[in-house]
Amino acid sequence: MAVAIIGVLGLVARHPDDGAQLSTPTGGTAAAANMPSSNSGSVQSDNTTSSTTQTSSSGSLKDGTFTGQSEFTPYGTVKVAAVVSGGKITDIKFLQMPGPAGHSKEVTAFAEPYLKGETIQRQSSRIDFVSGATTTSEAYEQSLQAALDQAA
Amino acid sequence: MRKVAQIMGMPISIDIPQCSDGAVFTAAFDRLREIDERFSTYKPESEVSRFSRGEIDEYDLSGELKTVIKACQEASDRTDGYFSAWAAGVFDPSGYVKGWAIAEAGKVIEEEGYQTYCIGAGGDILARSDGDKKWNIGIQDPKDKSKILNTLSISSGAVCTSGSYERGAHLINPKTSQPASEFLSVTVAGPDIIWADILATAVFVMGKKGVKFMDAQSDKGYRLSAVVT
Repeated sequence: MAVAIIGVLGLVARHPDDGAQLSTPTGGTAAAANMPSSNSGSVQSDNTTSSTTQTSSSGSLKDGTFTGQSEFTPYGTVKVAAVVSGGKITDIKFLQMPGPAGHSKEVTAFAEPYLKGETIQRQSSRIDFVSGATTTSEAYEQSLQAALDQAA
Repeated sequence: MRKVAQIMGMPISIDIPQCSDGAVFTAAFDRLREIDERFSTYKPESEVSRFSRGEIDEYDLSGELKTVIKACQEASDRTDGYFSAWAAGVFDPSGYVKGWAIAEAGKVIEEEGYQTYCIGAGGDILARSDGDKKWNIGIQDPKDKSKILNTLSISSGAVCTSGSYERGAHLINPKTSQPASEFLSVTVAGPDIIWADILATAVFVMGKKGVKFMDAQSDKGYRLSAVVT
């Protein structure tokens, strides 16, 4: 089974685009909007875990709970575990998410259901990439992929 | 192999099934970083920021920036002004640069010898296949991000989604100076990522009359894959 994972943060955090003016977010969302920092240089993460999406046609995931490595972000640590049952991911456990100070807790509470829901949905549809007007959570993806690599 | 890097304020994923050489991915990501250094409106020292502040003479602009300025003007002309890099009053080519940067990263991958790959950067997906590989691109439901509205199976092409932000920021219609509010998201599929991205934005801003505008694009291979209100 080919599994390609992208997590979703339900945030306003996208680089302003399309030549159109963005009005400033108000209230508590402003902090959430800045969460993946868009004014810094790029985070060099492409030399850590790489995701292998090729699996053999006869392969499926082993059952069990597999814990990914901790992924460090400026806002805290992300660590997930994948629960595999019947060869498919049936649950994702968030062992560590950024927080608890300030806005991070709000972000975490809001993002978790989306991150989990999207992974499980994508797996059953065998989707390679998702097109949507949201950002993805790279730390989540890398931790989850590490977990899945153990289950493969 | 698939790798992700955080560039231009978002995670950018590159999947090259036949490639296990990290250097190829690094080269593609480096090209994206290079573009971000020059064009990012978030970096005060980027060429675009300096240009917007009037610190660079027109004649001293880099070839790349000149090309992008010209391309933004053309994009505005072709969308009746609904796509505009000048909507904010100051030059901001980000909407054009995103699609163009993805195309540039694709060129790097092809120069390294790989013709089957997929690049995903937020709403923009660039897929290429020189064989049997089909990329399954899911269009996210903006009302429920755990759901996929539709899946497109693509060998080679682009899928671009433009949408309103969940909380706070909105795309402003350059004609009315009001946030575009008729659609939650617009997805355009077609051969070229730059133009698909521009169309998705323009149609989103146009609102319902954008659907008619897209009819005129169909002969070039561009179609509305999804519109969510």
